[in-house]
Amino acid sequence: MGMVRKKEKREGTSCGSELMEKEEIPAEIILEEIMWRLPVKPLARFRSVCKTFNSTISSDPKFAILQLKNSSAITTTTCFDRKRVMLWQCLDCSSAFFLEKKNSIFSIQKINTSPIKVNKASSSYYSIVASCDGLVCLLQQIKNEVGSVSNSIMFWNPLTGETKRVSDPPTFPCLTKWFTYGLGYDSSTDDYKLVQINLGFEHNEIGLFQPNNVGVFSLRANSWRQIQDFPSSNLICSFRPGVFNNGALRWTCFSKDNSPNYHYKIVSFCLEKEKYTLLDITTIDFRLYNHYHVGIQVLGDKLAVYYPSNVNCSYHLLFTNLYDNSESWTDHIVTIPNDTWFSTPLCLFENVGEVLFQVSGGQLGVYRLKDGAFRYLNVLDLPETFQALTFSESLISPNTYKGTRN
Amino acid sequence: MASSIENNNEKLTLKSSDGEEFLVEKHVALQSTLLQNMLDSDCSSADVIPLPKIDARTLALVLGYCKKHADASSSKQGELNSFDSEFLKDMDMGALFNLVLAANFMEIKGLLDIAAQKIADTIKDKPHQEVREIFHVENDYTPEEEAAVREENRWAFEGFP
Repeated sequence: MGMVRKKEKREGTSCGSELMEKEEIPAEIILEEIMWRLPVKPLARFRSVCKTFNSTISSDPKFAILQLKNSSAITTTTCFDRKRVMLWQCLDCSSAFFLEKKNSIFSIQKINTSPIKVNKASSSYYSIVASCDGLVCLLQQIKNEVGSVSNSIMFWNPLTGETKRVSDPPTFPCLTKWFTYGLGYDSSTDDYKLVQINLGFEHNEIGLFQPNNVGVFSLRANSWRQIQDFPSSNLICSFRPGVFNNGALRWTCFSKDNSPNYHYKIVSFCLEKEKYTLLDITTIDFRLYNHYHVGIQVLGDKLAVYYPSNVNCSYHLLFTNLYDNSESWTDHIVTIPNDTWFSTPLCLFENVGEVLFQVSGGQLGVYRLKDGAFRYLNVLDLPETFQALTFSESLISPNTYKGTRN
Repeated sequence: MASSIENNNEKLTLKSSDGEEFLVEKHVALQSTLLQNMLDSDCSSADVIPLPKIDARTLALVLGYCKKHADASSSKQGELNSFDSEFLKDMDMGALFNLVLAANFMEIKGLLDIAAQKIADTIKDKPHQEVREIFHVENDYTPEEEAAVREENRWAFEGFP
């Protein structure tokens, strides 16, 4: 242990009525009973306290698990303490930022642990394809000389800077090089599972889409296996990362018939049973809209779907509570002035009842649930375009994860 | 101390490090896993149980917490929560340290949780230099090492010295 406690005596500041022997608090108690109750941001600072603090905070798996469990047990009231919004600037320099709020002024903070060495000449492209409990999955797409693309996946904990390259999936008969992903925690096996769905975008002559095959990567086993195909051969899954809540990963998907209608559904993949269930959302005639973007997000403790309404620049935002199977929905019409492209809800600021939106790929705004008002946020140094996601911070190590129960 | 109307109104005596004796009802003492285990084994309640690491002031606080939690019915969770926050409200760091050490030694999980969480909440927004002082931890980094660790975590230092 690199920590030495000073011998000097401590001054008694409180009740001076009697002579009291002030206990110094031993290092083990500080680390085993107190420090893991902190959010990750102060822990990142307290790595500078001394070497023992640094090694425990950055690389003790038991400490990381206690920290995660304590964080999850505390009700999140804002998005800036245990839960953050991460911005990934993928096009030019592959940098990551956290959205910050201080005295009601928004700004961004660069994360210095980016695993990517910027090489302007390289033809690599990195995007965030999944995130859960502080672990982020980055997909690297490398174009070779003849123009074909190869994929490579990396786990990254932005707060500790630790990375892990994932072995390439075994060669499932993948039809295209396009995939969608989702990362979630399976409590039955105490494991993180990364799910990869091959998007079979191609038409055949009778207008049917090809089956989508699915692979699961287990973080504990450090290996891939192929599982049951996506539920239906004419369902196309969204390219957006699946959202994780209540033991399942959920994506939106659609099927198409001979009319101009797209039939949208939520596909839920239960991580324990590895089974799919489908829930109808809506049918959209794509001729009516300048874009038809349907998505899903976890907002607070609720699942929400959103899709364009038939008025320009406005969306339906429907909250549901899937846990009670009541399938009751609360509908909000969100009107976003000057919205030109996909706008997506990111998270709910529970304390003020506002939903944060990414607007047109590069701006941020909030929708107030109470009265339907929408306003753009002025964020200092916001990149022009970025990928945004919510991020529940943790110290979980992608390399040494062996479960949370021991 | 109010007399208990339960059948189980045996009492036991605890002795603090500075020699003060506390007469405690058994069902209150059972909040402590350490005391529970002692009573389950062979320890007779007639004995005085010495707690050589806990001073009288801290022990009085600990027993106040145990009494409240032993007497409250489980339906009064809201009342207990407000008791807990009131209980810790104006406590200084030294008193909180003593509570954590006592709760850790006596194995009173609820008390350990709230006192340790209170310390964590108090140091959350403090600079790391101040945390060194609070915990009496010596900085064993060279200036270069410290700068490197800090640089790696620069995002967390905005607004901090």
